[in-house]
This record gives sequence, structure tokens and C-alpha cells, in this order.
Amino acid sequence: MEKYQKIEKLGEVYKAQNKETGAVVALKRIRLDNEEEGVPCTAIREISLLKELKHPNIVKLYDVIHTEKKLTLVFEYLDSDLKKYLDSDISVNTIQLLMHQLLEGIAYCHEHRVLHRDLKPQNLLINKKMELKLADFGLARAVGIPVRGYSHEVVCCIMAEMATGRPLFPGISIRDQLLKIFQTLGTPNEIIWPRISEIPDYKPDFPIYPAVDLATIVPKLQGDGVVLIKRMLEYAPEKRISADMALTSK
Amino acid sequence: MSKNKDRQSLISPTMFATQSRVLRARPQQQNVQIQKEKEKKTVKPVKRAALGDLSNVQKQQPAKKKPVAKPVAKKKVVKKEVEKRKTEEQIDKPEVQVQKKARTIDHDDLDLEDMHDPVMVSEYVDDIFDYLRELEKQCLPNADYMDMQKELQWKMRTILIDWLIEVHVKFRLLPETLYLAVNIIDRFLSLRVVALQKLQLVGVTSLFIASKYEEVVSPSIQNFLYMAEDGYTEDEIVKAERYVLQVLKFGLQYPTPMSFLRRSSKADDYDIQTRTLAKYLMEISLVDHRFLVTPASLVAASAHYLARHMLNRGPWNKNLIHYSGYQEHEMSSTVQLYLEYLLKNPQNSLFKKYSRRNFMKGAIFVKNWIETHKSNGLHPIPDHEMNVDARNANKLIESEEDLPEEEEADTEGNADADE
Repeated sequence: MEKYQKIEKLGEVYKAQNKETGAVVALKRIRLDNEEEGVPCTAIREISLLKELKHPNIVKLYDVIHTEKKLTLVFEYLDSDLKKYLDSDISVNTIQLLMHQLLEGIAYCHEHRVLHRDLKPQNLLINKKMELKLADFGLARAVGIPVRGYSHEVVCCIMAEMATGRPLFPGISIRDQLLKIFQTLGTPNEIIWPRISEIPDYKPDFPIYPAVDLATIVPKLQGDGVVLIKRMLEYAPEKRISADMALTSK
Repeated sequence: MSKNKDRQSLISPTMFATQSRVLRARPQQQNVQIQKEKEKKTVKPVKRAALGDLSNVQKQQPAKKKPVAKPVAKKKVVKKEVEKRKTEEQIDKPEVQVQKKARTIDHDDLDLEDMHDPVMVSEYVDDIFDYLRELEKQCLPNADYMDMQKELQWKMRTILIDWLIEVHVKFRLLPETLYLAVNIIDRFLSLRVVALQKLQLVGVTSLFIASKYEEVVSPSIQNFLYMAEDGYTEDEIVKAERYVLQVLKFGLQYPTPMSFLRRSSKADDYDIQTRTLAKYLMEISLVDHRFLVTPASLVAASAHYLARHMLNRGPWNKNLIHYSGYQEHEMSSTVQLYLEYLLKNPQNSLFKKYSRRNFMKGAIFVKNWIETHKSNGLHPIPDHEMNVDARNANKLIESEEDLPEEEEADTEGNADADE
């Protein structure tokens, strides 16, 4: 631990400097002294997976310092994240640039059978060179095929958030979240999403909302952008575009 | 979904007992029979069993209405079949060569039907399996690690794994957890010398770590203390966990044989009996340390191949080659390892586990299969040295006592004896 000089505390992580190389790093600390179950499974998965995943759009894990009292993860440092970026007005070109990197990162994860499962602006780090990197793999998992039922996955609505500066579906509970989605995309039915009624939590009494034209919600995006968002927000999983495919569109 | 399918079939009364009848209705198994016919030509004394098999061939071919009663007539049928098979081989060969260059053209694209099933992630499946084949090489332990251990011997590993299988069943953990735990143990023992006293601690800690990585809800540390019958303290397990993770540098990315079996099962429509037997065989690779050098994909493919052979499920076709990644000759020595283990018939936790109804009493089926086929040759490749040896031994016995001809008809029922 003496190797790193702390510079400042940023939420859960510390900005620090490697005294030997001068490199600026981010330190994520996980306390173990109150932990009765040893190393938390989130930490085990995050470290193991990040050691496997090496990609320019995924945050680099340089080192792990493991003592009796705490576990310290040493990451490459990026000064901002998408959440902070959203406060400023982002140009369409920048959205395109960031979106492309986001999809590159996700496609790489999926090709290596890893699901991130916690994609949100706070977990997408950005540096001054406008490089975007996926971070926080605490909820991520390596999955088998067929993919077993895990917890609910988070749908990626980040592109629209970039374009409007606010979350597309700001839900406060699972049901609220679901209804917010229905209000925008329209309540799904058998025509839009074949065999939806066979899904375990499907309730036939969901309020019926009509779909809103997405172009009015994300006015900043051009025709192609709206088409891409639409394809990424398809209800039926088989119709939804994969990260890999999305990369080939503009 | 396949998961439900598994569950239904496991509790259904379709046991292996009723299976021999089902088997005969299947036309694909002809080739296996024909292979046995070829054996017959070279080695005379096996006549009895071979004829028994022949009568099976009749049953499977409803198209040939005339029952072929005389042995002479039977031979003709056999010759035809052999010729037919030869031409098939000739056609097959060039394709096999092509297969190495471009993998996509010689098999049916079974992933196409999954385009509508999100859990099959068909858009990424090829990338993922290419990656897993790379990954499995990085996760192989050092096969000779026992040489550097001072207090340990292979038989102690055998006892440890046997215990691990038992507690793994008790706590109803996922198969992946067991494979990962054993992989952690072997990789750790490849890197560190461990005292005999601490061997079980390494075992329980590896299972603890594997559960955290694989399980949706991992059992608490108290359960692991209980497993080890309070032989260790909580503090010892936590410390051991830290040490094992440090030594392995948190590398837990081992792709288990289960992922590969799921892939190749696609090529036989997830046949539940084959899968259950294959799972049993695959777990032999955990118990028998001679499998340490065998990559997970080969463990899975060979188990799948041998399970199909035991169940007479027909030849290892192009789709099976493609989705397993292995051709018959590449699996030959791994299959031999499985058979050698089974011939010893160890009555261990693994045998008990797979003798249970929820595993379709697969271990008992296999045991009977071995008994029935032992004298005739067990290996799926007809002229394999295991089979030649078995037949030679058999030849000696049979030349001593000439069997009356009436016995021939009885051997037709040899599959029924599998109950």
C-alpha cells in the first residue's frame, strides 16, 4: 500500500499516485474486517473477470492488494464519467463517438461470455481524450449457454440519456420502472412481442399505453440515430439489435 | 426451454430399464452394429455375440420384410452394409479435410433455429466457444504436481475428491461449482506444497470460492465449517481463501466441461439419456487424476461420444464433430481412460450419486453395460487394442468350451439384461 500516495477521495474511490512510476491511478477499497463471509462474491467476480477482459473500452485493473483487513483494487484513472458529462450539452458527433465505444466494449464482453448487468452512466468512465470505458464489474458474471436465469438485466438506454441529458426511464421501483417504459414504448402485446403472456411475471391487467414517437423524445438525434434507438429498445429480445450488429450501423 | 425439459425427463419413469426396447426402434444405430460385423470377419470365436447383434439389425430394418433366417443370408446383408459404409467413408474423407479449412460448410447450422431464443445468444455463440477453447488451455494444472508434494499422494487426492462430490450433492450445488472447485484444488497444488493436515482445508476452501463465483446464492461459511465437521475454524477458511486467491491471482475463468457438453448436445437434440450418462462419465475426469492433462472440451466430447456408444445412438456424425470440435480418432485415448476406470468399478461417492433416480440410475446402467460387453470389446473403435485384447482373452475361454448353437437366439436379449 505504501506504493500509492492518495491524492483525493472521489466518492467510493481514491485518486492516487504510484510513487515509483508517477502514474495516476484509482483505488477501490473493499473492507474485509466486518466481512464474515471472507471476500465478497462481487469482488471475486469483478477481479477474476477484469483479469480476463482486456479491451481499450474496458477499464484496466493494474493490481490487487489483498490484506487481512481490506482488498484494494488499483485501476487506471479516468477523470470523468458519463453521468457528469450529461450535465453539459453534448453534440450529436460526440454522442456517436461515445456510443460507438460503449458498443465496442459491450460487444467484447458478450463475445467473452460476460454480462455486465449494471450498465449506467455512472459506470461509464470518460477521460479527456474522450475515451469511454466500462467500469464496475461487481454485478457482472460469466455465463453459460443457454444462459441460466439470473437477476433482471438492465436494458441499455444510455444513448437516449446522452441525447436528452436525463434518464429515459427514471423509475423508482420495479413496477414504476416498467410502467414508465410502457408509457413511452407502448404497452407490449402479443403482436409486438410474440408469446409475451408466457413470461412468468406478465400481468394481463397492465395499463395499456400507446407508443410515443421516439423522434419527439430525442429530437437531437438524426433519422439514423432514432432508428438505432428503436432497434435497441425492441421489446422482443429476438428483434432487438445486438451490440455487435449495432456497431455496423452508424 | 431445455432446463424444464431436463427436469421433466429426470423425474419421468423412463429409466434405462425400458430403454433397450426404445433403442431398437432407432435406425441410426446400424453403423455400430455393422462395425461389430466387421469384427466378426476377423475373429471367429466371437460368432455368438455377433450373431446376437445381427438379429438386432433385422429388427431395426422394417423395410426388409423377409426375416433373414439362415446365417448365410445374414452374411450377404452384412456385406452389402459394409460396402455401403465404405462408399460413405470415401465421400466423407474429402469433406473432413475441408472441415479444417472452413468450419462452416460441412455441417448444419443448428444455431439458426436459436435466432429467436435469447438465452441461446446465437449471435455470439461462435465467438464464445472459440474463446473458451483458448481459455481451457490456460487453466490446465501441472499433471505431475504430486512429484513435488512431500506428504501427499494421488490416493489422497482421490479421497478428497470423493468427499467433495459427497458434500456437493448434499448442498445441492451446481455442477459448474464442483468442476471449478476441483480445478482450483489442482491448480493450487500445482503451485504450492501442502501438508496432509491441510489438504481438506484446501478442498473446502476451493469449494467455498467456487460457490461464490458460480452459485446464484452461495451457502454461508457456516455450512462449509459443517461440511468439514468443524475440523477447521472460520478464521482458517477465510485465511486460506485469501491465500488461494492470491496464489491463483484470482484466475477463476476455468470453462467447465458442462459448457462444452451443452454445445455438442445441440447436435443430438439434447437427448436426455445421453446427456445424463455423459455427465456421469465427465465427472470421472474429476476423480481419476489421469485426466488432469485433458482439456475440458475433450473431457466433454469423449464422454458424449462414449455415452452415445453405450446407448447405441448411432455414428459420430458431422454435426457432432462440428459442435464438439472433435473427431473420433482424437477422442480415442480419452475414451480408453474412461473405460479403464469403469472396468475397475469403484464403489465411491460418484457411483452412489449417479445410481440415484434423479440421475436415471446412469451408473448402474453403465456398470451393467460394461459387464455385458466386456468380453467382446468396449471401445467404440472396433479395432482398438483394448478390444483386440478383450477378444483374444475371450477366444481362449471359448475355445475351451464349445457353445451349443441354440444359445445364439438367447443373446439377442442381451440388451434387456441391462436392467
